[in-house]
Amino acid sequence: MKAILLFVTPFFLCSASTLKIKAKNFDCKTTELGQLFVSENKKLVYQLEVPLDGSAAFNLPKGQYEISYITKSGCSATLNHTLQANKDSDITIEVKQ
Amino acid sequence: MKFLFVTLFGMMASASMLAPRPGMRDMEGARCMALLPQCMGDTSATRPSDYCIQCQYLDRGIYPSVATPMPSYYPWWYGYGMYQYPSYYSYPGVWNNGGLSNHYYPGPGNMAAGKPNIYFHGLENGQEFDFKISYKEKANELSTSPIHTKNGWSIKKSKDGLVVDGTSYNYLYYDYKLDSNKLQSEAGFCGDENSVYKKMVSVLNTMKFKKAEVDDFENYWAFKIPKGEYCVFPQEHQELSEIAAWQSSMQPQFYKRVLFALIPKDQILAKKGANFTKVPESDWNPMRGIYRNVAQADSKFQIHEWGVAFLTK
Repeated sequence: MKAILLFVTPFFLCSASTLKIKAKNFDCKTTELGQLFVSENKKLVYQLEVPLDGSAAFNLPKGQYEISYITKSGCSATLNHTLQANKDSDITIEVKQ
Repeated sequence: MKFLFVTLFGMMASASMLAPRPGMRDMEGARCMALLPQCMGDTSATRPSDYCIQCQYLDRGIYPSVATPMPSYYPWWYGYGMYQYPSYYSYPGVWNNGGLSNHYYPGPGNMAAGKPNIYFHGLENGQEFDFKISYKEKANELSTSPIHTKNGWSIKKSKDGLVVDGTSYNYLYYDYKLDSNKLQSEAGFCGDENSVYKKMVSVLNTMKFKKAEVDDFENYWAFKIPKGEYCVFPQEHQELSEIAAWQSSMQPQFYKRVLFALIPKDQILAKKGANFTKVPESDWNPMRGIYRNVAQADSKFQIHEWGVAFLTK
């Protein structure tokens, strides 16, 4: 029984997060591709290619995550986000030159 | 006599043209087993660009013409994370005891598929369709881009690419957790991280993935496979549809789908590689991953997908 609880519990302590990337100023072209990095304590959990003005979704365990985004032309932003267990969140990251 | 011979010869020639081509089964979703243009979806609308399989490691950049596992160019983001993340190079994610971390990639399955990229071809500008990934038992979504809603993705083709929710994408991306017991564990190939990487690229080229699709694979996986000896068990649509099924409002005439399951060889030999208990007994034929749907013979629509999976620990 204990083993079943240990196996099942972590999955139900996860949260779904949706992330939208927005350009904060006109120097950042909305058609440009960028790289999105999601990490916790310097551990890189996800790296994915997302266009500026694009979106992504993650299913992650609770924790404090750093979300960074950068385009080839240098439009970037970083934010810290705390994910709570069983609480979904919508995140918007605004990038600027 | 001469007339009879010509007639007989003509009848034989006609019969051979009308007969089914060897290796191609005329049934819905039939697997293509021949390198015929008709089997590869090689039409003017979807023809892959010219790409020299043998030259792929030789013709780029200023580096000497020697075979190397790495592309001789580097993606622009290559240096960005090197000082920020210790596992930036040579790891596909948070790594734990020879596999991806179960903590960060949650779900009941014992394997995580990283970066399946889906590409769509043969669409007219303005054409719209819905596409959804439907996860089966012990499989669940980990990450997607763009956001995959409960109805999947609503996609519109534009001159800039695939427009989802007002933004243009070159491809759709998803990560998911799965149960390795549903995967084939008989056919594949083994080698160190460099040789299996080269072989995977070769498989994609043999399957005639487009150059941009192979470039996407190289740009990421050239730098993200941990050092070690692996056996790779490629999976095709037949296995994957039992795990992460495609649901599309528009049916393709051709589709290509391959997921490379990378299992550390020492884990296989130590019987710690889940259902991968022995090294591959036979090579995997890349044609197994190509399907033709003859019921959609008039459709130019094609779907291409590649991905890489590791056990989770």
